[in-house]
Amino acid sequence: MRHTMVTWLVVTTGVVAALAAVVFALLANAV
Amino acid sequence: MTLALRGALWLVVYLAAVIAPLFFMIVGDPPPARGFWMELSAALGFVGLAMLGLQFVTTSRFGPISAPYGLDLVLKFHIQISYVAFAFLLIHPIILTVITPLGSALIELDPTAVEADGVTGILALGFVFLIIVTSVWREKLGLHYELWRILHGLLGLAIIVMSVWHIYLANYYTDGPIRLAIWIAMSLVLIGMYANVRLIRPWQQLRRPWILESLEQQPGDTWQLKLRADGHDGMQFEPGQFAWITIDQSPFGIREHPFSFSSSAERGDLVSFGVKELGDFTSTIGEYEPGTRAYLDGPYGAFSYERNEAPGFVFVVGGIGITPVMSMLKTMADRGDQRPLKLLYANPSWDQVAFVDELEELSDQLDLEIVHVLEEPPEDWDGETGMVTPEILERHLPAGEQRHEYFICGPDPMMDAVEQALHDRGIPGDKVNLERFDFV
Repeated sequence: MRHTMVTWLVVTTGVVAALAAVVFALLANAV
Repeated sequence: MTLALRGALWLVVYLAAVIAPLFFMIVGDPPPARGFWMELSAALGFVGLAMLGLQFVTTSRFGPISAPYGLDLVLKFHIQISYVAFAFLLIHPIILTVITPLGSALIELDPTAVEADGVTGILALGFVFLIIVTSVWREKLGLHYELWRILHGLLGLAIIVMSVWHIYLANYYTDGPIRLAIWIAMSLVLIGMYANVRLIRPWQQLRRPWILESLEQQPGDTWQLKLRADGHDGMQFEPGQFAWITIDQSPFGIREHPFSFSSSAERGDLVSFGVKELGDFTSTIGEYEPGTRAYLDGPYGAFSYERNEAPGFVFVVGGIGITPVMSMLKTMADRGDQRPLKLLYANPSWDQVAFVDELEELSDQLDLEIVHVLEEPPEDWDGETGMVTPEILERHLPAGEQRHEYFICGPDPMMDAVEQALHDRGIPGDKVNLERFDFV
């Protein structure tokens, strides 16, 4: 179960990072 | 602060560090935006690179980070997040290919049109691909562990150097003294983390040497390696943890290997490790003479009953997986612990069961019941046979099984099967602790 937790952490990190990149691209063009 | 809270805190710090470059890119006086897709591509490149840079941190064996999770989990994260980083870095040029003239030139395979920043970027991406391939298929490629570690370090360094060069040549988000200072500071932190593993920790080990006291052969191609602290008070560890051992070589060398303690945590100055001959370094372990100098880096790992208190414990182990459990049992015996313990111990045959005599002694001192499970039992065997099945668990799990803590260590298929069987019995997942030996 601890190891399943790692996969969730990785997925969460990936999703948050991808969203941050999209927000950055939107903000950079909005400024 | 509890370990769980510290674990959560480190995750937030990690996420912040991954996203930080995006903030640094627009801090101060940002360059003009070049459209959504161009900026998204750049952002993905920076975020992917931040993840790769942080790979130096996850393997730095930095105590405060590995303690909450256990080093095995940190390394598992290290492996899995590399796929995510690779995906981000791959999407970065794909977007460029679709939307820019540089990309169009690449499609038409006109090398003269690919500028220097394109070349460094492609090289960096190639190195990332190589580092993943040589790690995932190390054994299939016939790469020895020591050679792989050298290669891994060099490729890691090459990726960072090539990527920083790529960012410098692209020359879009590195303008201005503030931005430059931030990039230099971040690079220095990464270099510092790498130096921690390769220079600072070996330097600390050099001042705390160990002497090989004895090497005892156990059944099942297993050795018990006993080390005595030489001129210091030894190492405080939790039973079930492991350490990296360098033997007959400078701690600055590359030949160090992780092994589980098999001795009591009450004796930090005289420690033992269980080592199974599996190839590479482990096959030559029997050749070392008592008196040989050794160095330890540790302790690491979270596979310990001390972190998971319960009214009773169940250990399900296969083969060399007995090692960390030996450490826990011996520690409990030394501490006069009388909580009920059950050990299901699987082996191919009786003549491969390691630590038989010591386990017999321990069962006299502890409230310990041992169930041997043999794949190929002798003719007069009346114990359990085959694999550790749900039926065997049904016969031997103690009353109040829901409240016990479970420790599983052994070959992957056994661990997966037992974890599933315990799950099916309704044992809460947080009470099932697993230790995988093949994490490096």
